[in-house]
Amino acid sequence: MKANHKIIFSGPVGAGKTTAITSISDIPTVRTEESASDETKDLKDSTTVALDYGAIILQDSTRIHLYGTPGQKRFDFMWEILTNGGIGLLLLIDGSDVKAIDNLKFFLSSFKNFINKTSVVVGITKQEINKQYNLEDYQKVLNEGLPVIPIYEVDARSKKDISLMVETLLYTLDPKISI
Amino acid sequence: MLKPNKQKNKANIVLSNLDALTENTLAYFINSNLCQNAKLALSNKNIHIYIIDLDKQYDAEILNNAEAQQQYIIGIYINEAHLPKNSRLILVKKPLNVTELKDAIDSAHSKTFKTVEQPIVDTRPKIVTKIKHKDQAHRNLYNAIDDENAEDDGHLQYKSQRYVGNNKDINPEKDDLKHIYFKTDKYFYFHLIKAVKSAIINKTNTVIKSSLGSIAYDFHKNSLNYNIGENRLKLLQTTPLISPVSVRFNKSTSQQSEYSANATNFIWETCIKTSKGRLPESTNLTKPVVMSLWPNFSQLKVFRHAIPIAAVWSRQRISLIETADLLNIPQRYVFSLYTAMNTLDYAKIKDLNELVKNNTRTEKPSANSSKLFGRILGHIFKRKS
Repeated sequence: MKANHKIIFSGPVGAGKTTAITSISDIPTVRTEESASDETKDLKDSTTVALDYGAIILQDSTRIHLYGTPGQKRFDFMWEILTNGGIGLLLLIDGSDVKAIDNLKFFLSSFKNFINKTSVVVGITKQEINKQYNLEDYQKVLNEGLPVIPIYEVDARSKKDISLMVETLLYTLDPKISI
Repeated sequence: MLKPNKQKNKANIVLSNLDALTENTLAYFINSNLCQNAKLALSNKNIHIYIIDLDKQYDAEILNNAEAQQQYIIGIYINEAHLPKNSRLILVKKPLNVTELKDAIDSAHSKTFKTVEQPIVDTRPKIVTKIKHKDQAHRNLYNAIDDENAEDDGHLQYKSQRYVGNNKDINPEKDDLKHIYFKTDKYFYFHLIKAVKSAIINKTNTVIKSSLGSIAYDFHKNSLNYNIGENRLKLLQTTPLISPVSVRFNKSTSQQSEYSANATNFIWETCIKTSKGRLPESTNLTKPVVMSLWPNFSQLKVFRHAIPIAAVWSRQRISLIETADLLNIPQRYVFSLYTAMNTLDYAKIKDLNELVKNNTRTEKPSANSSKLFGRILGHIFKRKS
């Protein structure tokens, strides 16, 4: 039986989790989105209420599952279930949101246990649209000392950028990986 | 008469009619420890070898006089149609390859210093045969290669080498460390970062003037604007300054410029190109590296091994030498990355006490995980996994 490997994508509503999964998935992304009816209505017309799913399929058919967590905070009970057994976390933050710094703090805190066991890479999206903070502002939020959390400005639509996040995640888990 | 003492004699080389970039690269190579039988000629006397570009207009007198002067000519070429014939001509085909060039120089050197005992009888031009060299990292020279076309492994190595140079690994306890260090103030990047930091503190624009052109820093946009062409810019980034740099604050709007670049990205790239696998003078090799910020690799120039090196420093406090050992990679990659990160204040070397040093995360992932991660990366980069 094939082992169950998964990479978790998280972040607030509209940060680009679904887009990021789509950009590197080898299969059409399964989106469990529906019309927004709560506080997310102003942010997106439709939003992820359960989860997004994509996969990287290796040559021997091993699947690396790509799970996107629901962005709304009221679904945070699902986050722990989703992260169980995960390789690591790719956290996407919408850089055009005035609450971007607070969101970063919130998600790092929410996934603290998972991050401590694995690793995290932060991607700030939409910086080119309406940048609220410079990268240095986000870097200040991250804890001093070890580990130093990787943080990149990324375009969730860019396979190159999301691949860089995955690459970095894996190297932080094991810098001696040989391809 | 030339002394037949090849232990001590180095052939004097003159670089003629080469473009600035090639000349600069060959000068770098000849001065490096890879080229042990020759040195750049300091005067027009006692010239043993010329290196000329046969694809460009060259001084035919160099070839005509070679026999009389007992000189050898290394002619680099790509166009085989009109190659001159001369018994003292050694041909090396472009793109230049370190091994072939070294063989050509060694051949000219050996013949030069044996001239008295063994007169040359072969009248055909000598073409250096291609030799497969085990040390693939040394395969390609910095320039004279078509950057756009090749995507093979050799080209990837060339790309890396462009940033990290050729220096061999050193043992800090035994080896001469001179060649791994450079004097920062002799290079443009040092004055550039100093000027930019100062402009940020003073919240003003600034202009940095060098003999190769001016670069204006726009404080509000964090951009660098300049009218320096590609080749001159490479010289500015890679070679020691030949005259002092001047800096002046400029409150008015920045100059009209053909080129503009994000200042952080530009400085980062300049540092790496300056470093070429070396370190700022007096950088400690055995004390731990303390990383404070992770470089924004989505925007910055990334070269081979840069991410694994940063990953090591993000989780452990170990020295530059230990980092190369841990990753089993040439030290020059570590040195280049550290030089850039240090310049931008992303990392520095500190004297940590044992308590802090022990407070680092060093759990090892399982062998299965490692294998899986490698396969995922291989898949991402479309390589066989």
